[in-house]
Parts: sequence; C-alpha cells; structure tokens
Amino acid sequence: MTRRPDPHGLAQADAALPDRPAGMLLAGAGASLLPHLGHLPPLLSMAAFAMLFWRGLMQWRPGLRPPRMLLLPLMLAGLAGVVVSDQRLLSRDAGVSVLAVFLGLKLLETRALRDVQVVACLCFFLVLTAFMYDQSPRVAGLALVALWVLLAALIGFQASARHTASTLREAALMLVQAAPVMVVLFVLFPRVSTPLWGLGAQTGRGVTVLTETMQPGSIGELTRSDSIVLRARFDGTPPSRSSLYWRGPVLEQFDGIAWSADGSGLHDPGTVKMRSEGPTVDYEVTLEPHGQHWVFAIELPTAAPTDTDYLPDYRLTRRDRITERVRYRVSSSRAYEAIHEASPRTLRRLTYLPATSNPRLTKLARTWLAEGIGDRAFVARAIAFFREQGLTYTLTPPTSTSEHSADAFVFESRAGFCEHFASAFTVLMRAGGIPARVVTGYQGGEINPVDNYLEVRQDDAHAWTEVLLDSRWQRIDPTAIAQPLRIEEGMARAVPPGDPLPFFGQRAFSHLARWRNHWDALGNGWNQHVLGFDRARQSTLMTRFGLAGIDETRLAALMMAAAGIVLALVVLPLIIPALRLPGRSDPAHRLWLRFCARMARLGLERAPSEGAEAFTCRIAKARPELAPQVIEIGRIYNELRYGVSTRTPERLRRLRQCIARLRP
Amino acid sequence: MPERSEPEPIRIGQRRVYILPTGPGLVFGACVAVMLLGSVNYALSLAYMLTFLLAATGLVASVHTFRNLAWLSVRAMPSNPVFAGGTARFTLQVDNPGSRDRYSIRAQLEQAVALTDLPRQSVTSITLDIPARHRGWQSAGPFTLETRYPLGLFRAWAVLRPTARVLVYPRPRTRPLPQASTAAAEAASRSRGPGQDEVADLRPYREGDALSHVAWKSLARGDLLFTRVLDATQSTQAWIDWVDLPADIGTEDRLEYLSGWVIELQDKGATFGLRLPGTVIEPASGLAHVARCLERLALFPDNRNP
Repeated sequence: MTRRPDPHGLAQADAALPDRPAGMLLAGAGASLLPHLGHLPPLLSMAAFAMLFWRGLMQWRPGLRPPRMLLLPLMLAGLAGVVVSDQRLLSRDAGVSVLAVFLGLKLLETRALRDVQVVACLCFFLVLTAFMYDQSPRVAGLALVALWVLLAALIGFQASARHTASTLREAALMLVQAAPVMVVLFVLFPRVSTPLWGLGAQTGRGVTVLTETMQPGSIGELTRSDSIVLRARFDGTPPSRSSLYWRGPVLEQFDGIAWSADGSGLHDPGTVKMRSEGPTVDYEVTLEPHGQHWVFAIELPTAAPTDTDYLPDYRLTRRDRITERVRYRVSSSRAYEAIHEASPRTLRRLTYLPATSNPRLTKLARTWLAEGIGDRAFVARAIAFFREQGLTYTLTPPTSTSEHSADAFVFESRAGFCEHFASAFTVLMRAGGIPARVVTGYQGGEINPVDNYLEVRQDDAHAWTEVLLDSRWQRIDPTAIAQPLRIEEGMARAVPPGDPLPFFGQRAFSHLARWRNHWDALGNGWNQHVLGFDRARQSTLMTRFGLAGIDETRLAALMMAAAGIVLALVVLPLIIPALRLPGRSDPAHRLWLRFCARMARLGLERAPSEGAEAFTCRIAKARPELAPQVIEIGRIYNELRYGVSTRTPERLRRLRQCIARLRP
Repeated sequence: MPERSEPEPIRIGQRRVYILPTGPGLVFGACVAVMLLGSVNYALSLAYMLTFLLAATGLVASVHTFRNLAWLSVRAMPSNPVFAGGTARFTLQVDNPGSRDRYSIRAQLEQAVALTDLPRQSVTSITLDIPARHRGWQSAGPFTLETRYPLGLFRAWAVLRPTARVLVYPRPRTRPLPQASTAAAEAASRSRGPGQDEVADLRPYREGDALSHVAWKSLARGDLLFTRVLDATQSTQAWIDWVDLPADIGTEDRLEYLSGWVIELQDKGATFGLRLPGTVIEPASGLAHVARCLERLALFPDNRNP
C-alpha cells in the first residue's frame, strides 16, 4: 500500500507519511543511534529505540499517535532522565543523550515532509557525535550506512512511488558522486591546530594500561592483551630489538610489595643532565590514547618533543591526559650518559627499603657488603647471582601470598615475570645501599612487514631496574640476565614450551599472524592517513605538491577551486547526454533527418511548421513515383515518434530499409 | 493577454530553469555549517569527512534537482469550452525524451496543482483545473513546473507561457422561454415520438451531431455512422431572440438568459436559431450548432470595454 503524498503535502500537517520511505527513515535513525549504544545510559538507549518502534507501529495504526499533550511531558521526562543518569549537564555524554531523546520525540510527532528533514538533520548530528567516541573503521562504516539509508529515505519521500531498492541505488549513486568532492574538501580544508573552545577532559575507558604502581602480577595482566600501544616509524633502519626500551613510569617508592611513583622524586632531585655520545635514532611515534600523562620514547630521548616535558627521571609527560591518538617526533641517543648528581635527600629516597621487608635478600646483601666490596663489584655479584639462581621466566607465575614478594620469588618459587625480576633486583640493590629504582614501559616491538611500522603491543610490557653508579644511571634488566631470549627474541621464545602463550604469540598461528599484520597495517594506514590527517600532514602534503608554506587563505581558495573543478567533472556526465540537441538521441529521428536532407537535395525542403504527414503528402504529389515509399516513411516515422505501443524495433528496421531503398 | 505566449512545444532549456534552496535546504546548510564548526573544534577527521560528504551530497543534489526538470518539452492542449462558474481544464503534454525517468514534477496553474512522475521517453498529460470566470476567452496565466527531487533541499522551477486559453460561455440562467419558442419546443418533443420521424436524408456523421439523430439502424446493418437529416419543414423552428427579453436587462444578464435558453432548447431537441444584434444564426440542431450559438454569446462584444 502506498499513498501518494497529496500535492499540498508540504504544507499540510496531517498528511500521513508514505510507508516505504518512513520505514527507511526509521532504519536510518536506528543506524545512527547504534554507535551510541556503548556509551548512552542503557535506559536512555532503550527509550530511544522504544520511540523508534512506537513510530513504526504508528505507520499502520495511526491511532497510536501520541496526543500533542503527551509530547511535552515525554520530553521533560527524557531530559530528566539525562540529568539523572549523567550529572554533568554540559558534557559530551549529556549532549548525545539529549540528541537521542529529541530524535525519538521528533519521530513521534513527524507528520509532514518538513519534520522528516528535521529528523534527518538530527540523525546527521548523532552520527557526527559518534566520532567523538570512536573513529574506528567499524563506526565509520556504520555511519556511512546510516547516511546512505537516510538519503534513500529522503529520496523516497520526494518520489514515493519508487521502490526502496531504486531509492537506495539512487542514494548510492549520489554518494559516489559526492565522494571525490568530499576528498578534495577533506584534503584542502585549512586545518587549525587549536580547538575553538574547550574540549572537556575525557578519560580513556576500559583500556588496560601501564599504571604508576607495580605489584606482582600487574604487568602480567597487561600481557594478556595484544592491543597496540604505539607505532613507530624510523628514519633509516630500526635499532635492534634488544635496544628498544620504551621508557614509561619510573617507580621509586617501595612498600615491601608494590612499587609506585608518588612524584616526590621531582622535588629537589639534584642536578640532572643527559649527555649524548654518538649517533641518534630519529623516529615518529603514534601513541594510542591511554588516559595518562606520559608518552613513550626509546631510552634515552635527547630532547622532549613539542608540548611535552622532560622530567628529571628522564620521563616524557604531557600536561593533558592522552585521550586521543597523538603523534610526535623524537630522537633518542644510542650511547648516552644519564648524569644525576643526586641531592642527599634523593639518595636517601632511592635507597629506602621498609625495615622488615624481604629479610632474606637483605641478609644476602649484608653478607656481600661484609666482604667489603665496592658498588660496581656488588652489582656484578648480584647479576651473577641472578644468572646462577636458576630463575625461570614464566607468564604464569605461582601466586604468592607472602608479604616479602621479592624473597618469595628469588628463594622459593624461582619462577616469575619481568616485574618479579625487576622488583627483586632493585630490592637487592637498595639492600646493598645502591640507589636504584624500577622503570616500567615496553620492551621490543615488531616490525609489521606490510607497512614497516614498528608495532609495540601491551604484551611487550616490561619492567627493569636502574642503578645509580658514580652519578650515572645504568640500566640493568634482570629478566635479560636470567632469560636473555625474552629480550632478544621476544616472549614466545623465552617462555618454556607448554606454557600458555597469548594466542597470536604461538608459532602455529604464524599465518594468522600474517593476516593480523595486514589487518594492523590497514588499521595503521587508517590512523595515519585518515584520522591523523592534521595540520602537519596537510602541510607535508602541500609541500609534496610544490605548495610549501601555503597560507590558510590561499589554501581555502585552492580548496574552492579544486572542489568546483571536481564537482564539474563529476556532474558533467550527468548533463552532457541531455545537452545534445533534442531528439538527436532517437534513432528514428536521425533517420528522418537523413531522409529530409535527401529530399532537400531534390528541391523538396521541409518547412519548419510542416509535420511528417503533411511533408510526405506534398512529396507524393510532387513526385508521384516516390509516393508509396514516402507515405510509408512518414507513417512509420510518426508511429515511432508519437506512438506508445508502436515503438518497436521492427518498425525502426523497416524505416531504415525504406529510406535506404528510396531511389529518387 | 498580459504576457506573450511562446511558440510550442516549449523546451525547458537549461537557461530557463531557476534553482534555489528550499527552507529545509537552508536548514540542512546550517546543519552542515554547525557540523563543520564541531569538526574543526574537535579536530576529528571522520567528522570532517561526514561534514564534507554531506556538503558534497547537497551540491550534487542540486544538479540532480536541476536535471530532473531540464530538457522537458511542454505543449498545451486545446481546452474544451466551459460555462462561466464551471471548471476550466487545461492539459499540458509533457514530453520526456531523455533516457531517465523524472520524478515528482509539480505543475501549477494559479491555485491548481498536480504532481506526477514522467517516465522516460514518453509523453504524459497533466491536467490542471481552475475556475472559469468571465465569458469570452480566458487565457491561462503562466504555468509553473517545479521539482524538489531528489532530496528536497533545492527547488528547481521553470515558468512557461504556452498558448493556453479556454472559451468561457456565459453562465446559463433559467427563465421561462417566450411563448413562440415554447410552442416550437413542445412540437419538437412531440415529433420525437415513435413513427413520427420524417427522415429527409442521411449524411455521414459529423462530430457534434446530436446522438438522437444518429441513424442507429443503418449502423446496426453494418454501415458507417450516419446522421439523419430531418426535414426542416417538418420540425417547428424556434428562435432565441435578443429582443425577447425585457429592455431593462443588461447585456451580461441578457447573455446569461440567452445561454440558458440555448441549453433548454438543446435539451428538448428543438431546432432553433439565434438572433443577436448584428448576428443571426439560422435554425439548426445538434451539438455543433449549440456550440456555435454559445460561442457567439460568449464572444458578444462587451459594452463595458468595447
């Protein structure tokens, strides 16, 4: 059943919407709500979809239309729901909730074409806000589908006799035609680097990330996830895997079980310097949002990237939490001296151990100290001890309930993960009076052969020790001492056979890993070229076009011009066929024109006002010998041009024959 | 006629298609602008893309709207005469010679509106009914063809001035027929009784001949359609005469009464003639005759604006 909109439908408020496009509109509204399901309060999502469903029922039971009196209370209830479920009224979440409520209510009162346009605009806004939460290809795909269906619905409302499939085809065609213009606008629209108004802090949600505390098991937790932490692209050959220590939080505080950073190391640290000796490695990092302040660099960066602070513990941090993917360039020194003339207070802090903690390691340190060895010899002894102790590296360390976690690891279980190694070694160092601290971060990473980006994943999370010898910080990785393969080859080799590995780490799945490489490269391409297309990328691209340093005004002018040209190119095929002279496209008319031209050569020119019949009759009188053929030509031509059922290919053939056989 | 009419068929070339955004189109544009502000502020690449895709779709839609109307060919068909106060029907024949269907073409003439789709390579008739006002020739003001297809964001329209006019007869008003005419009419009614027909001759049927005069019997025999020509002397003649009406009736009212009498006598099947100042139509019958009489009444010189 289709109802044609009545001609006055634009103005008439009570005209029912035609079924097919109304269905499409609801589908489009649903598709634009879909990406928000994850973050809208559940009750609100349910309410919004309930209103969609209600509107659907109204389509065949018009009696279900809510009275206008009800709409205001419904709206107030919806707004109250938003306020109750989300305390901050001016937040992004509240904005989206309000949009969803408005969409549902507007649908309920949608009666005329006018309302349909408002609904479509609300949907477009909803789709846009979805990108504030997630810019993954999945959401982009969903958005495209929503847009497509909504356009098809709008087309359907304009031409309600059309079938859904044909409106969808038309909408797809329009999107395909619009795409090149969109690309031009996207590439050339002048980007600004500062927001127009405040963005409001949003924390990353539900992502397992490094934190500023480390207790047994906390890093092991991370290795269960293989999500990507950062990607790096090196200028030149990437350094060897074993030198890739991505420095993260530095933990100086120990309570006997857990290590933490309380920031006190930043006060009165003494003199901190960094001297680079030898070549640097230059690279660009794309860091996934983790909701914290720090950013990662390979030990040790020579200088802080823009907008980033270089802290006295050689850590890079940003003032704002990293809630969006950030990209920065940084250089790291491959041979450096980290010079720290520590203040006495700092030295005290760096050698502090709780009095009764880990008595066995403390005792061991005391026996070594009693031999009167120096700091360097002490460290060498400790390294040898770790190597000989038969400690094994495992992803599934036995759970320890001991309050002396380091003792339990070194002397009892002898199996642990990197945080056990680092914690125990640092405890041993401090017990020997050597300033030491735990550094957490990531170690290694793998080059994706598809796009040559180095990918660092959560399961590369690592912890190691730093000791201060002769006012120089030295990195000691106790895990590497006990299990060198972990550092040289990665986790899969280091873990004894039979130990459960993360899914993709397993060798048997290497072909899957290859697919994953492609998938990740695709994702990275998306991140780098689509999502990461910012001011810097834009100017790089412009430089490649020979437009280095183009200013915003000129760029805008270029954008207008290019968009105009592309639009013209897209649109020209739409109108060129019609620009040709009227009727030229009709083969019958072409044949007729040829016939007229031949008659004109005989001196029988057709008058402009003369129809086919009149003209052929005149010829028949003037040249009786041609009469039968000419009369037939006129008749067939008229049938082909003005008939409906007489427009057949046979007649066209016959006309061609007659004209060909005409021998004046 | 206030505007000159154009030669037909009128081809809606690209230069005579006007296009402007509609109200919803402006709202859509504002929407896109706000979305662009949001995209700039949040520096979201996909938001930029969505915004630009919508903007580009709007631009493309304007071309679609334009080409949905352009290059149609329009011809106005002759309209049948109507009585004043009745409905004048104008028919446009719109030829879509192209290879694309056209959707939702809205034709408008004064208050009359018609919405139709035009399939490709076909001619579609669009009828528009407007009230017939005064007797005489009523020409139809400019026709507007418009479309908002496909998205309703733009309105493309063209103003056409084909030769479209309709003859409006004076509104028939009833008033008892004069004595002589009544008698003649009654005679005519009687003469239509069975066996009373005096057929003088048969001639080929012409459009406008009264159906009561068609020689049905000869048609039944398989012959062509003939009209019986009745012997004029056998039928009583009636005259509708300008001077039969009282002198105090003005021209327009007078024409309306005369028009009413023409209808009345036609209904009774009478043979009648019409006498107007300066014009005489000899007695006859049949629709063609009636039409001739009414036309004369319709086009009777207007005293007010001679």
